[in-house]
Amino acid sequence: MTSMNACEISFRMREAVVVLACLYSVSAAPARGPIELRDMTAETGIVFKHTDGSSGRRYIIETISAGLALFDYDQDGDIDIYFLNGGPLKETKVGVVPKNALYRNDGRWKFTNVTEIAGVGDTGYGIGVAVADYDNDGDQDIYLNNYGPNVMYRNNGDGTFTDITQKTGLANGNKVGAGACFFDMDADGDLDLYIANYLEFSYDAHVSATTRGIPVYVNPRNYPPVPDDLYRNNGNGTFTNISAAAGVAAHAGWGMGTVCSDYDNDGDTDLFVANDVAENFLFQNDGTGKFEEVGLMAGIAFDLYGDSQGSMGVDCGDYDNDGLFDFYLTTYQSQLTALYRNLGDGIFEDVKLINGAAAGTHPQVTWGTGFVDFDNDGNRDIFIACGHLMDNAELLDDTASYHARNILLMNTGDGKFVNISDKAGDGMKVKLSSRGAGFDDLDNDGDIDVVILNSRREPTILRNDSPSKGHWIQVRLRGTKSNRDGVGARVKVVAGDLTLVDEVHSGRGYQSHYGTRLHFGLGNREKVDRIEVRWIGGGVDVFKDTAVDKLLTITEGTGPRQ
Amino acid sequence: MNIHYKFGNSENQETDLPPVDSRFPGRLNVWFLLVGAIVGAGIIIFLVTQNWWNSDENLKSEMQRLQEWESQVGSALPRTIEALKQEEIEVTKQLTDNFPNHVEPIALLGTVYNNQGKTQEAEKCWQRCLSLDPDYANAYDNMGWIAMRRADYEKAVAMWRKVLQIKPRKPGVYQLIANGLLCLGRSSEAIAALKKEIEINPKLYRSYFFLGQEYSHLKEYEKAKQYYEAAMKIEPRFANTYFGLATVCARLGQKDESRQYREKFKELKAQQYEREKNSSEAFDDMASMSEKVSMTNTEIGRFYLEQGNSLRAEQLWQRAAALDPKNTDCRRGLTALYETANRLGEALEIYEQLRNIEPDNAMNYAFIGALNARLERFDAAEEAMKKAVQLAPHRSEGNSMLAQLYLHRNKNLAEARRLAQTAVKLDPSTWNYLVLSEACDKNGDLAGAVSAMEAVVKKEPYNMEYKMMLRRLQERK
Repeated sequence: MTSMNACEISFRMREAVVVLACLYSVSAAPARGPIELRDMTAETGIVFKHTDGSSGRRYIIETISAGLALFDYDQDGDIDIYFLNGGPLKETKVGVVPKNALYRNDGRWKFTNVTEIAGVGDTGYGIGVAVADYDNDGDQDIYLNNYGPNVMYRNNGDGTFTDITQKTGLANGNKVGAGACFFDMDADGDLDLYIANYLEFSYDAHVSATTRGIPVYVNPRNYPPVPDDLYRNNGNGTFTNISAAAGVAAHAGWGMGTVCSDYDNDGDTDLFVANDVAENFLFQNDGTGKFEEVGLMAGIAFDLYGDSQGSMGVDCGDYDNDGLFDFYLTTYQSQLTALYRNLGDGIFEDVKLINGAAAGTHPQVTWGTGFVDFDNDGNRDIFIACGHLMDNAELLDDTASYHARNILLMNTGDGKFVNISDKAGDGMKVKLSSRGAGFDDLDNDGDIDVVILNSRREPTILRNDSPSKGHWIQVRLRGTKSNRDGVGARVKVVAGDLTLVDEVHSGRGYQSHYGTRLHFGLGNREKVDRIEVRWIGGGVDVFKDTAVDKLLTITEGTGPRQ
Repeated sequence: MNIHYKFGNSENQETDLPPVDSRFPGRLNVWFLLVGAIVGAGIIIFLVTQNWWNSDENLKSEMQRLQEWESQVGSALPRTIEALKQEEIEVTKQLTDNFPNHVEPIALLGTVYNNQGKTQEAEKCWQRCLSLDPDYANAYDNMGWIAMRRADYEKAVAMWRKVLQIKPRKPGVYQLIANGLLCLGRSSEAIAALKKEIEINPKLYRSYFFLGQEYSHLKEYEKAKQYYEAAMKIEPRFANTYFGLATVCARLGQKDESRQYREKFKELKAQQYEREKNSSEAFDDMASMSEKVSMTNTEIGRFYLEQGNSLRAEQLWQRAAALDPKNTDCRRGLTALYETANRLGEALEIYEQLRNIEPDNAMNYAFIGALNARLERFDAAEEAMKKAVQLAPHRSEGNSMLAQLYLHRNKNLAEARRLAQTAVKLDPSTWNYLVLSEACDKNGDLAGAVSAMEAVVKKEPYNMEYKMMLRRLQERK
């Protein structure tokens, strides 16, 4: 153990018999890829089935549901799963009202539905979710960005939640939600909330259409765009909408996925909003919670051609290990996903054609995404959830399909990506219509697993069975002056020749939440030379010579300050 | 003097049949309609030799079919888009059944399938085209596009390379290859392809744009800027070029220029969004599908005509006209057929439809004038020809026709002469000189008539009839 004030959690190693079985089966089995994701859904006990509330009328909202959240709600060290569900839309008849579902991770890939006990079975129309300890009481709370009134659940710390929407003032009217992010915009130690809104919809304004006689969901541009909302945490359990004062309300868009990141490395957290059918927003924070929209100047509003995309989900991470956060954006069919490489000085370049980061995405509608180092080699790979939004897509174009396989792009370490979906295990052969995706170490074995929410179907749970045995380290932050989860804090890990950075996000991907504890793949490096944590507010803790293959909990102010 | 005017219902009438563009698929060229008699006669001879015009049996059965068809047209339009799509497939399949060894019908069926989202069926058709004609480059081209849609970039590039083997300098193909190569991350090969493209097709602004992008990726910003500027010169309304320019100028530290280009980009992008919004709001699926099926019928009609089956062509073009009240191509085809068959009233009716579709097209008025004149409706003819002159004062046709009308009716002879002079000034063609000669003659200006006829003979020195006409004029001097 190191000199740091951090707790260490031991991990179960894979059972020897399993390893041996794998070794013996190598000669008979097809050649294994460097990353293997195994479909564990049937074994998990998860029976959740998503519904989009549709009845054939093709309300546009049906297409965008929903995200999911991966977080440890009961603080037992296991990552639990919270699925959002769509409620019945107008004139849709249901026997049992669909609701969101919380599944407790009992270990060994078994999950138990604790929705009722926990009191988080919202029956609103779920679209986006963010999780964070908004009240800094040591447990993580849930915010639901719905179509209709939004919901704030406070974690009571005993496995139950309380709906505190009215008290907090976060219902946010009756809008069509999208992604949501908690972040500390003004470095005052509590978490503020950014809420993306998709478009202005009402049943009366519903637009129905056909293309070549086939019923279709209309282009979002048939509905007016709306500005997003920004709420300041007052620190007393209430929030105040400051969208106008903060400079957010002036920008109307068709908001989808969101992520917060200090893209310009100036110590405050900025905001990225993926907009459907229009330019994306990059809100640069001046450090006090005032924002300037700089997407076009930064080169991230449009794709490399200067075209707006049907942007869906977004994640940020340092794919090329140059210390700067890059952004990956998923998009609509016939568009390539985008990888915006951060060039420094607040400038991005869409490099998807240079490095293969959009391989296989052109025929697909792509949604959830994550920069994830699946094989612990120190390079972040990219996972892309796919599936058309039209259940009859094949009729319109036989190169498209409602159900589609997801895509896994392996980072080869030289800044390039290779599509390894075909040889990445049976988990990548699942064909459904995926939406939100989350990534975390569900079995605490030191590699990152995957949970995918599929529209109108059961979810997909993938266990990472990659043969690569790279070392790793996971970092969980505990803020004291800054927010409790360390949201927005930047962590730098140096191991030999490898330098990795990450930051804690609350709300990311396709309207989802995952990755509160940070995961760093280290390859064959057997120790970490240095871990540097820069907290929101400017404090820096540094730890040296740390052992690998474990989870560290780092508490703010406990390391030697820089 | 005995000029055969292009109107009047006498036996000596020259026909006014427009030539049919033999490209398939293609579009009728309206201005070629003026090239009348010779081509028209040629087509009639062709039709006669094909036994479609004179065979009583054929004529009878075709007439019956036509009558049946006519009873359907307009009253039996499909009520659903599905029925329209079915009709499009059926009519094209019927064509392929009738001409199983012709590439074009099969290729057209492929296009129909592709447009209906059935790419696998489309690909089968194009493969069949290649089995009939291994050098049918369009099949490779189309399969390249489908491969791109499926993200099979290797195949797309291979298909387009096949196109180049057959048509080494086909415009646009190197650019397509470059796009495929870019998706494969093969930047240097893509750059080479793009340079080849602009060598072949120096006006293709997108190739310059893509080159700008590639050099920008390579951080050769000055070079990138040059290519973007070249793209901008060719197509200044393409918003994305300004996006590229704003980016490279920023990288070059040219902040003011970058800002200006960024503003221009925003302006053009806003216009683009507005256009897209308007287009989306105006979209009518039934009308759109009807237009597509109408165009398919038009193309098929053209093919039947090329094969000598004018009655089937007529059926299809009538159907096309019924399906799409704005389809001008099928209507032009019909006017050609009707004029060839001396069905002038029907031709006139179609021209009147064309006039309503294209109220600013002077040629429609010119033809309406000519047909009315042939039907001896001279007041209507005069009105239409005057409108033609008013709409296109810079063109000779209206002036010439109106002059001919006045000469034919022996009225407004001074005006006829002025119009003929204008026509010659605008287009010193043999025909216009002939009209001028006649106009001078009828105005008592024998010297003028001789002078104009000399110009005619000078233009066509081996035409004995013109020489005779000149001699007669000279003898009267």
